[in-house]
Amino acid sequence: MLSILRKARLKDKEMRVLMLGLDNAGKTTIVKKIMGEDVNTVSPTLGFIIKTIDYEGYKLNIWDVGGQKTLRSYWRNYFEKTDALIWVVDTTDRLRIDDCREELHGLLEEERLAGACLLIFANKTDVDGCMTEEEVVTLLRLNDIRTHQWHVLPSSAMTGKNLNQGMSWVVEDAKKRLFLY
Amino acid sequence: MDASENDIDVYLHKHSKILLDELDQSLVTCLRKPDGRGGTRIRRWVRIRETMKATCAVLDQFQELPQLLDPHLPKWIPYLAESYLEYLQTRHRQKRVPEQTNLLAPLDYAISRILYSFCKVRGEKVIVRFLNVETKYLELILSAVEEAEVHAGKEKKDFFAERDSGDGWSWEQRYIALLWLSHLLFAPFDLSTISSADLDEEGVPSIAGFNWPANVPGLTMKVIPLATKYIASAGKERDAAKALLVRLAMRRDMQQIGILESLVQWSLKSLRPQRETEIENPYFYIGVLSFLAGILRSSSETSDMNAYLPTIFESVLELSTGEDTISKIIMSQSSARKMMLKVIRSLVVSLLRSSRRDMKTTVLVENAIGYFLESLSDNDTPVRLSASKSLSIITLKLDPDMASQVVEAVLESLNRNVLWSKTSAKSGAKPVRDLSAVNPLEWHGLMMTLSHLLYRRSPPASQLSDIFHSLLLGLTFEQRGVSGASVGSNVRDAACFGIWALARRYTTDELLAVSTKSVYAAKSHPATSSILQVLGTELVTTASLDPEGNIRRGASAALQELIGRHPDTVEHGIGVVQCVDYHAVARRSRAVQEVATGATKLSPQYGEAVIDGILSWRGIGDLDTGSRRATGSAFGTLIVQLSNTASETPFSRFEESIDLVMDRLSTLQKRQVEERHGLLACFAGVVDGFPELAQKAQGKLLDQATVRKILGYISGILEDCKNNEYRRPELIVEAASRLVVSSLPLIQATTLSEFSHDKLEKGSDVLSMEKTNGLPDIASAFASAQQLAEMETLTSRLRDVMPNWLSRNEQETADSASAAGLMLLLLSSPEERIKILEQWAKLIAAKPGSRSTVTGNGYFHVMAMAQPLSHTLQDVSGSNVVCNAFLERWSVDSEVETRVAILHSLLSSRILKDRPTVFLDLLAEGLNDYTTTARGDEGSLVRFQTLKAIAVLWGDIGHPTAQADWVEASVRKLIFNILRLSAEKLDRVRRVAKDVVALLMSESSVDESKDSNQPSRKTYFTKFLSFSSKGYFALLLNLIPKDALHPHIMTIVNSDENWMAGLMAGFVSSADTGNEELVIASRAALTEYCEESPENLQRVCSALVQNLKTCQSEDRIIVPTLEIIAFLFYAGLFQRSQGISYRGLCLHTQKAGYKTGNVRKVIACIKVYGGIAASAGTANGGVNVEAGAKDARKRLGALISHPWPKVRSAVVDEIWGLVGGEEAIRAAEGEDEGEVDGHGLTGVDWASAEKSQIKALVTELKLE
Repeated sequence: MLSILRKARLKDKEMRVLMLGLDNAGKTTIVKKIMGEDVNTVSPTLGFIIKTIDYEGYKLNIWDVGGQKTLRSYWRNYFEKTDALIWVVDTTDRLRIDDCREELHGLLEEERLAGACLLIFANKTDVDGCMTEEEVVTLLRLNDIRTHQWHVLPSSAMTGKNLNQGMSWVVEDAKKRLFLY
Repeated sequence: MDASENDIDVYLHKHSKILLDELDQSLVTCLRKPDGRGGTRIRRWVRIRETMKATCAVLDQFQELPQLLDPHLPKWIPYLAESYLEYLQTRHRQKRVPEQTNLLAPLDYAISRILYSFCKVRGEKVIVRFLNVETKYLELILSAVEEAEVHAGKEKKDFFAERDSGDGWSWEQRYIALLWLSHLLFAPFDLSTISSADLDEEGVPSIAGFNWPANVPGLTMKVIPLATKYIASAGKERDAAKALLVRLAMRRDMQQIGILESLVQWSLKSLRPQRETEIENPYFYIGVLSFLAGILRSSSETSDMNAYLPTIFESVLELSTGEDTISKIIMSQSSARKMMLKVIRSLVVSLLRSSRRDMKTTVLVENAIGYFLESLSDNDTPVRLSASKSLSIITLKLDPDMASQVVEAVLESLNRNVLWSKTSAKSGAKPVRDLSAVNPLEWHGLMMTLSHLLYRRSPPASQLSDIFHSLLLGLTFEQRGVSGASVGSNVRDAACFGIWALARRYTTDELLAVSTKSVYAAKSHPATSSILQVLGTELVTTASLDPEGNIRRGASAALQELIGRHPDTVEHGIGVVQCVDYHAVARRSRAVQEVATGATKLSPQYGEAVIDGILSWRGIGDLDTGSRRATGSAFGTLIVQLSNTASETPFSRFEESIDLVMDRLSTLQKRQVEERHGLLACFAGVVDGFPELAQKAQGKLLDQATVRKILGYISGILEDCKNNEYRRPELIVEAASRLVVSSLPLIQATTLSEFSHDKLEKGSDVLSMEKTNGLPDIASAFASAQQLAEMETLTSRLRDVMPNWLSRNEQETADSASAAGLMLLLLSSPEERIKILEQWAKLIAAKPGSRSTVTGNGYFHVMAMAQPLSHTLQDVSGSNVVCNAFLERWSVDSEVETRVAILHSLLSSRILKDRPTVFLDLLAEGLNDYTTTARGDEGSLVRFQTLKAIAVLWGDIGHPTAQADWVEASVRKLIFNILRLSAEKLDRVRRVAKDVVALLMSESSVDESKDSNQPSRKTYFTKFLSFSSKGYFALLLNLIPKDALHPHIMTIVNSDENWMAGLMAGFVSSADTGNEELVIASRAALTEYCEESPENLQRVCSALVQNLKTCQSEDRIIVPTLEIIAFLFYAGLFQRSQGISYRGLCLHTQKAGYKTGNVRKVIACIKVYGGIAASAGTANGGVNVEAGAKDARKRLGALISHPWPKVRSAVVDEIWGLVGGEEAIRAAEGEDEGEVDGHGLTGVDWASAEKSQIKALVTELKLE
């Protein structure tokens, strides 16, 4: 049963992407922007929403998980496990950057997420006075991460900056690891 | 049943980097060696075991996550391929065959094995891409295969015996070579141009049924016979041969000269042979079919095969319906049936490719679909899976009208033979589907097809209503097989997959358009809820109740998908997802108790659905007893959860559910024992929920009429127990007694007017071991309470069934029956109670007259528990009746079973702690039970149980308060025995003894290192030391010298020097007759301890000698003691010990060996004599050494004429060592006179020597 599904997923080039981050980081807005939906009507996500994005022949099933404490329920299920993590950081929120770091590092220790790559969207860079990419790297201590492949992109969900680049990084990385042959 | 908690893939991910690095290393080092010029060259021979361990075994671990290998494949596979080619090119130069050995294997064999492992893990299609494609190697590999062929043919004419011998190739080698050849045939040049030599006309090999076209290149002529030969083989090389043949046939140049046509004709002919031709082995047909499937598949995008399609279809279909032998042979193979499905599938796909559809094609397609639908009920899973996949693929290619017809056909088959029946006559009862008439295999196939179709989104949204219906049925599918086992889990699994696919492929609007009313299977749900809510609720039920862990997980995943894709359609969706978690559902008991309760807290509708589920096959009808118990208690919890405690009638739900259970009980057949057990468990669960409910209801009371009704129900059940004999009585007894116990708080609340509701507790808690001291209070409260008529009936009924219940011996049953026995005592009037107690005491005190009548374990239990109630029953001397009964039985009955039962009931009650002094003798005796029967050391069971009892007794001996008189008495009495058992050879006993010793150890003593991070010795002992390790034995030896025990115990122990003797009595059994590891560990610990200091050594030696003296009659101690003394002599330790009288030792040894019939003992004695004799002059600490040695020599001299040859040989061995040693000394001292010649011992078989010869020897060696 599972092997049938695994084969089908490989053939369809399906991936499971978990979208995480503190609340109000802009996760749902990012998803909506990529999907081409209206981004002005976003209210705080209460739970989670699964959306499928077709990107260069790949099917990205994006699990947009609400910004409460990250919950292990979403980390894997019977049919799929997580192939990629997208961590969204609100670059205008300097107050909670420490919380953000703790959460992220705690998440990466979870062994059920081993083998997933990590994309970090430094979001809201369209706002003045936001953190720079280097700042995000140092403040989140990204250089300490040994367990996962990671990549930072400054982005803006409102303008759509770098969102597609982010998706293509995820896909490229998956190509290298999962769909090589 | 429970899914595993830790996942292999997670482990693999974590360790993959190391594994891959190691693999990288070993691939290089195993195959190549340095050539001394800075480079490397290939090894000709490979150490096969090491290589395989380093490569294939590592690769196998990646089976689950083959993608992890991908980044390394471009490096590894070409490297392997190169080495292989290098080997093939150079091997002609040297033909040296090393001596026959299994340790070495030729390199090509090793590489083939490794490559095969890669293919197995990653898939051959991926691996083959990395193999070298240079055309020049085509002939090289081909000739290698042929050569191996010739070799095999020459050495053994027999084809089948050839494998694994000499130069014959193994199947892995053939597989890889053929696979490689198929890859090399990609060569873009015409084969005629690269064939080195054309074969002569007469050299054309003939293959049955194969017509060679003209102008065939030599290469083809070589390849085809080879491939057709191996296509008939049973092994994996068939696949490679098929790939080779397909590749060859599909080549443009080969098609042109007609090879494709010849091959197709050949295969069709092979499938339809003439009568007279001999029938080939079944694998041949499988191979031919797979070849057909292969060419059809690779030609599905072209028109190459169009001409042959109808013919192939006809002959395959003919085969499936054929009545002749060949058809039967083929159809009996599941893989052949699967291949046929694949042939037809590829064929239909090719047909459908053309836009032109004529009548003939349509008929053909329809026939094919009919055939697939039939195959859905095949007996073999792979065939069903293949058929369902084929159907879904074909349906995608059909035009919408025909596609929906296929879906309809599937749905229709799913509705066939499904009956809907009503369980009870009550109007408005929910209909229950009855699936007993359907074929579970067919359902699996159909459900898989449906799920595949949904996964590909084939069915139009208009058909969703029926699909929902089928999926809901499939989710709860279950049937009982002929043997009573549950079948149909695969159907439920497929349904989970289907729902998951449904949730992700259809939009919320499409799904919500389906009205709940139109789905018949959703009838049990309120009509107001949306269909998605129904689906969600059903998934919650499955996730918490299904017996299979993977299905619970599947349901949880489907639920996530459902809620995530369709937000805000399922009530409290997010909470549900968090509650019904992948990990939470892994363990079944947790799923039913925690997950179900959690979901109910979110919304009662989940609870209602789960309750319905519990009352069906997934709860009360489950085959597993433990699961039924768990669901029973979960039922109670859910009812409490669902009760509206704030309303005016907080108990209405409580009452309703009991009525429901009783209603269900009344409809049960007599044979439905499991269901009865389950329902009774539910009943007990509900009543157990009463205290919690009463507390929540805050003052509102359950009216007396209801209580009377419930008590009436219970009495009725007891009456039924008395009158009916059920198939598995122990289950009914267990459940009914639990129910009786549960009713305790109910009775308390009703009859005791002053009883506060806040103090109510579950019946099983009130009667638990810790609280038995409160029993007299409860009893006296009852005595003064008002009496209900129902209570009296209940009591008298209980009294009637009690003898029967208590006589059961099953652990679970005895436990609950004895609790029910306590209930009986509580409910009885004081006079009655005394009568019963006395009667029971009499019963357990006397040993039954015959073996067939045993006192049930329940009696022992209930008596031990009831001891607090018997305080009034003192006999003349002031001792308690209950205790006396136990002691009396112990003294008259030495049956192991009885003793174990007595000890078990003592340790699971308070009686031991209340009256420790009474039972000390009993415990000491229990520690010394060495009853041995035909079944072995049965006494170990008693010792084991006694140790457990002592652990209970000494539970808090470490507390400073626990320094009562009995502590000293008990320690004095038991400590040596416990030390002995802590070192004895049986693992089971040692384990519990270790726990007891740990109780005695003090927390404070830290290792000498004074390192504060070091765990205290006690923690080290309990947490880190296994009971068979060297460290454990070392610690035991040091236990007392290093003050490791509690101070107040140390003072007791130190006053007696005999502790070492006690320890040694057990230690020797581990060091001599334990298993090998144990012997090694314990001996190592012993020698280390002895070498530490002279005091230690002396302590051990004198303890051994003392045991020799005191335990003369017990062979089980004496023999190992002698052996260990001899061992210490050999180790050169015993000689160094101070103050041992050698003469005394010799004397005790002689006594031990006197007139014994035990060979082991005599031989052990001889070894000790040898040791003593040899120590003359070397043992400087001993007393009377010379005299002892002289005696020992004499004994040896006497024993050499022992009647048993084995003993005589042992003596001679010992003398040889002795004399040899003396010679060596003499040689060293330069007195080489050669007068006493030890070599006189050689050359004679002393086991059969004559008396005179022996006599001469004795005199010569001065052994008199």
